[in-house]
Amino acid sequence: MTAAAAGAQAKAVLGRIDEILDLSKNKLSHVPEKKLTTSERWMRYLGFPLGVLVFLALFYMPTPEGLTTGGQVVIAVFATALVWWITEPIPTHVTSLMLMGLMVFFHGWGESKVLGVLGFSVIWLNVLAFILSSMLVKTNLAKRLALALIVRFGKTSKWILLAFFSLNLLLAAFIPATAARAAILLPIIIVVASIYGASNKNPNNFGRNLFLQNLQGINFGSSAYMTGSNANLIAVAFLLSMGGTRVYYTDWLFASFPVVVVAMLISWYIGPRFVFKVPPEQQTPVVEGGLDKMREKLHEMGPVTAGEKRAAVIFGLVITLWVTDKLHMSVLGFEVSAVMAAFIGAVIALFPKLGLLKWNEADIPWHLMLFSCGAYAGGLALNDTGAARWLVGTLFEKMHIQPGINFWLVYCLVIAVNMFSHLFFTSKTMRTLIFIPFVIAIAQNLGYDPLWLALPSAFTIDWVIGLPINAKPNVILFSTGQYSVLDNLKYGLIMTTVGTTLLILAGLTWFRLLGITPGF
Amino acid sequence: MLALTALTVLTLFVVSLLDSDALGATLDPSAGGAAAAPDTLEFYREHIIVGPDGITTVEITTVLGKGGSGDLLLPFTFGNSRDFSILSGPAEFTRDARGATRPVRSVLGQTMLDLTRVPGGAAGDTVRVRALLDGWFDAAKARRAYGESALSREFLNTSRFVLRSFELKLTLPPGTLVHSVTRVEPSFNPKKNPEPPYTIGQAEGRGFVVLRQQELAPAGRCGIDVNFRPARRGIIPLLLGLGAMVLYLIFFRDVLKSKEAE
Repeated sequence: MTAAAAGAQAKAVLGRIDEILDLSKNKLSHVPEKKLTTSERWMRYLGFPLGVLVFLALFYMPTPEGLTTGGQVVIAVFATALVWWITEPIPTHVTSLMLMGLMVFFHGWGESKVLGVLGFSVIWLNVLAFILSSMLVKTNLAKRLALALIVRFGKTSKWILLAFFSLNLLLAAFIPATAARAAILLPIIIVVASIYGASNKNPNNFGRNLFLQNLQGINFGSSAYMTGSNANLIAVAFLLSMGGTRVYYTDWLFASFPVVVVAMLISWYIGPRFVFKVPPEQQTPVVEGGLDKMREKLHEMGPVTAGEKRAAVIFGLVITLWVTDKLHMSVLGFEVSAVMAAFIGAVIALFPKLGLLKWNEADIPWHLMLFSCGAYAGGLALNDTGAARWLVGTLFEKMHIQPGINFWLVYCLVIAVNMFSHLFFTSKTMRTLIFIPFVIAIAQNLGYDPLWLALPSAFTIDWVIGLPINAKPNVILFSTGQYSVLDNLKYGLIMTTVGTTLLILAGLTWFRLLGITPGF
Repeated sequence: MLALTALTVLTLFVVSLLDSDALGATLDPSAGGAAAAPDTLEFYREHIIVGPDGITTVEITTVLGKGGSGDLLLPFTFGNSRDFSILSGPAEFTRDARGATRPVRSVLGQTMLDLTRVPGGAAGDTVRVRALLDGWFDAAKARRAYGESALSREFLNTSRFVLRSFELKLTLPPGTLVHSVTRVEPSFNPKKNPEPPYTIGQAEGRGFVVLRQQELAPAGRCGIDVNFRPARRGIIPLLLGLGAMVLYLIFFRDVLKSKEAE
């Protein structure tokens, strides 16, 4: 081959890399059409009537004792939406709109409350995170970071996946807002997925593993630290106020951190091998020339541009505000919430001349915001009408937990119920407010130290990994269109089972050594 | 001595109507001075039962506490009332100078249930009184959108007694159930207290709601607003749901075809 021909071939390869890395062709605001398998098509076809039947059954059943008729309507509508979100007979955002409409028309929840969800801080945080993410994509900073990550760890796909788990564990120690962590990682994850051949038009198993393992890392990574999420702190506060036990940062860390690390390693191991088996062709970058070409591409990007530096400063400011949230009051005299920190960043990013982004360049998936609104409206209505509390109370009542019952049986039941209940909640805080007091009350009723049951239950709070509706980061990552609700549910249920098993094993061994569960 | 005691009680009562905080300070022994322990009722329940014909019954149940003089002036903040009866307990309606019974009387503008303890009554005894209320619940005025009706009750402790444990129970008209609790006072913050202060239930084909308060001081208030609706659902959602199912199965058959096959 002549030098000219070799040069032309190299140029062509780099051209294809450019095409792969051009995220403007994979806009999140564009809803891609999915290719379905035969079973998925049947699920779609039968999902709609199944949802209607679920609604009619729950709506017309006699109102149970202790539940309001409004709560009954909300349970019926939410259960229907769950069926439709999973089977997808209609797009997920249309299901959300229907959920909101049905709640209003059957008066499960008030119209102003339902419509008001669009103004919630969680929705704002999503919108602002996508603006910041667009800035990172436009300035190529996301591409540079992703290429650097791949050059360093991307010899094979498994090391990249492990690198992301480690990154999530590290970020969780400093940034308690899970949505903020998702916003930081999103553009990098998308670029990495592209390099391994995954896009919203052509999802592949590497992409499924990458996105869903990040979803898990962001969520249950928070469980490693007491300050990992606000819900963890609420649980600790309940333990003190109701259970009379103070839990310190290190108590939580020593107990939960090892469980989280083991869970991440298990997920990292089983994901690409068993859950979504990654074929050999997806285990290395799809670009001809592999890592060398990536290195070349990174080198070709040259020194960091002025635009990238500005983007880094703006994003750095937002991250600094997120990380230092506990110091705001003493330094600034007021607190900048996670959403207002993103607000500041987004305003600077969009500001003419000063910023880097025009409004038309901001890639905001509004269909996803509507999906989020429906999920949150449903979850809030369940809480507001007392339906969630009634469901949880009834569940514990049906378990007939009476004094004299073996502690470890109660422990296993409580952990499993807490862990799997996340599928029916859209907010960790609500779940904590409802579950932890119940668990403390059960422990007190049985004559146990509340710590024995409540702290391990608190370790389950951040395991919100089953469905896109269960947490903010889930919605953000779902927006990429790289996996289906069913993919999320499948991997989520497997890992929730793993998490339950790990916490039970830890309860029998590690937690006993630490004095969290009854000792040897 | 008796006159002095009566004057003190009257002063406390008037202060309670004007300023509950001031009363709290007056009753608080730690606030200085040697104020006597307040009279108490161990338990107090106001149970309002809305009848099918709009006639409402109110049942007041109280468990007597220690202390207190012979009179038992209890809160009765209702308008038109009749057919008072004492169902049980060591109390009788106060008699006026001519010996006639007088179930209610106005004290400083507040309607009070006017009872007197009978000799032999002791702390722990339960007194139950029932009365009928005319026009307290107006079905037409209570009607709201979506086939619901509203019911609201605000209780103000106009008595001199500290109610150690208080319950306000609203029993809805037959065949109706609680749809939603729209307001509760004092407001409920699940972050401070995970248990809501009210419970919802059903008995004999009708719903009820019970608001509980640990202690209600003189001039203390609490209340609850509920919406209720018929227990039986209409048939229209069923027809619409079945219709939507059939239409979907007919018009969305193409979902089963793969894109390649098209």
